[in-house]
Amino acid sequence: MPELNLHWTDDQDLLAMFVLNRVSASARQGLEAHLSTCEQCRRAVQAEQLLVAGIKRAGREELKARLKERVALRRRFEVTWYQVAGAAAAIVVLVSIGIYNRWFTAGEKERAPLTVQEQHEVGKLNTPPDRSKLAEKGKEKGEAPAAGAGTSRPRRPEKGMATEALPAPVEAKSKRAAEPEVAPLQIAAAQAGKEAEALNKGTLKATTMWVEGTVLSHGIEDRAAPQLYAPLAGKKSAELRDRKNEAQALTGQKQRDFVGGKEKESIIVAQRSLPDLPVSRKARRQEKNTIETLFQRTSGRLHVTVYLDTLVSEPELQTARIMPIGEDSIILNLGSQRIGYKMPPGWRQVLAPETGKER
Amino acid sequence: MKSSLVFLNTDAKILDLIRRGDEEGLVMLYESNRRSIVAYVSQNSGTPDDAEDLLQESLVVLWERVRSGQFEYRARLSTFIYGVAKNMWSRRLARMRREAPSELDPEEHSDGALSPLDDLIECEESELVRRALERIGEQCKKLLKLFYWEELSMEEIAVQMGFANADTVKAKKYQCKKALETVLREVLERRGS
Repeated sequence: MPELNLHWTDDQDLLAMFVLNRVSASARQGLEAHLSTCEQCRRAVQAEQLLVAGIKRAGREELKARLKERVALRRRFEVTWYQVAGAAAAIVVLVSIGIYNRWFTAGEKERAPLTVQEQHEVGKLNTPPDRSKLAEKGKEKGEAPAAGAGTSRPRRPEKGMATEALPAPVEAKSKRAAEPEVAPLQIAAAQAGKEAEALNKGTLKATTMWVEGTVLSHGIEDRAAPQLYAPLAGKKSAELRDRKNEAQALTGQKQRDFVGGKEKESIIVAQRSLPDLPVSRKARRQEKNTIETLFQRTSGRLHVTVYLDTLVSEPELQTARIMPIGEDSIILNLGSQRIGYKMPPGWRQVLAPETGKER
Repeated sequence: MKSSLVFLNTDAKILDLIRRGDEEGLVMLYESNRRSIVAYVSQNSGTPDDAEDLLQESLVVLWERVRSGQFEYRARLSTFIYGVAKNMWSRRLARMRREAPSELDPEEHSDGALSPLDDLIECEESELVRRALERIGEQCKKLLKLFYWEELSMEEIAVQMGFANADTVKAKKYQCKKALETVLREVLERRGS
């Protein structure tokens, strides 16, 4: 009769339970007692222990590796409080810089239009006015500034306007005082050119304001303005006609009651091609397809520079007309185009002649 | 009182995760205990890397105890981990001292602890098994690990691995164990030759 299970280690389950310490204390005692007398059983237990140790080791190593990986992954995406604080600080700084640029330095960065002389050379320029008109201008140049203008400070501009009113050079002021009543054509053109050049170089600072214009029509006749200006054109057609007759906006000439409400003043209308438009405005224009126009107030003149994709001819520029319509609108007739401007609140204060004067 | 309840609540959640085999519980413990373990090891001649390794091993101990049902909640889990890490670090320091050339005196090992040579042999043997495991197929490897390391019952393994019943697992386990022994024998024979 064959021996049946003389060695308990032949029972694989029992062997595993013994090695894993999952047998009761009393059973363990009995099994250990057998081991002391059975060499074969001891070897079986040792082999099982080695196997279990290796499997456990593998399990531990793999768990450690997975744990390490998960912790590393979590740390990679972890956002600490100081990272949040740093990002918030960076946003605050960037926003501050943006606000600073928009409110205080935008005007300085924009390139002023070409000088009269330069524009003339490239054929983009308003030609000087005729002598009869200059006679009127000469009279006005000798006039004293409006009461209180020397002491009044420019009012704070509305949002969206970039202003910087700085005193005009003393030399320029004294020159103005000594100007004859009727300025010769060449002198007027040269003065306008010098001023534009100074603006261009940044040596003469001006109160600047960008306004987006809308092409209302392509005829110079007084047609009903579409959409935005429709009510305006309808209600004020009579007024518009009257003002149109009055308005004179030729280069170097004085136009009555444009913004100041007191005196006639000198307005220089110039044009520049679209590629010259500052980048910041280009983006805006692409969004809205508007006519970007730069209004610059110096102590002596108001410069209006229109950025066009197709430049108008010299004669068309000569006959350019600009006129206010109501309190918040301006119409510019330039060549065959009729451009309407919805002016921001407070624009008259910003572009008033006093703004560009010495403080 | 309120804060200890919070701890109890957190510990209970972690233990529940571990019992269900979710390792996220260990990650949570890793993050909350890392600083204290690094501080302890750094103050006791160790480096931050030693501390990280020690923390991982302590967490593995906790995992094994909880999974095998041998864990008793007597103190906060952080206390348990700190205690395990401390003991392990003491043993590791003692082993390093023994391994130092100036201290290779046989009498130093008369306390019954394993000699460096025994350590090495044990380590090497279990490493051999670990490597052999890689050669018996994923299913066998997983089954043996669930049985010997995770100490799951045959029924639990059947559910987890999608076997029909405990008997099927038992038969499969027997096959896998034989396969492992065969690979091991081959490895040892190759080494011997």
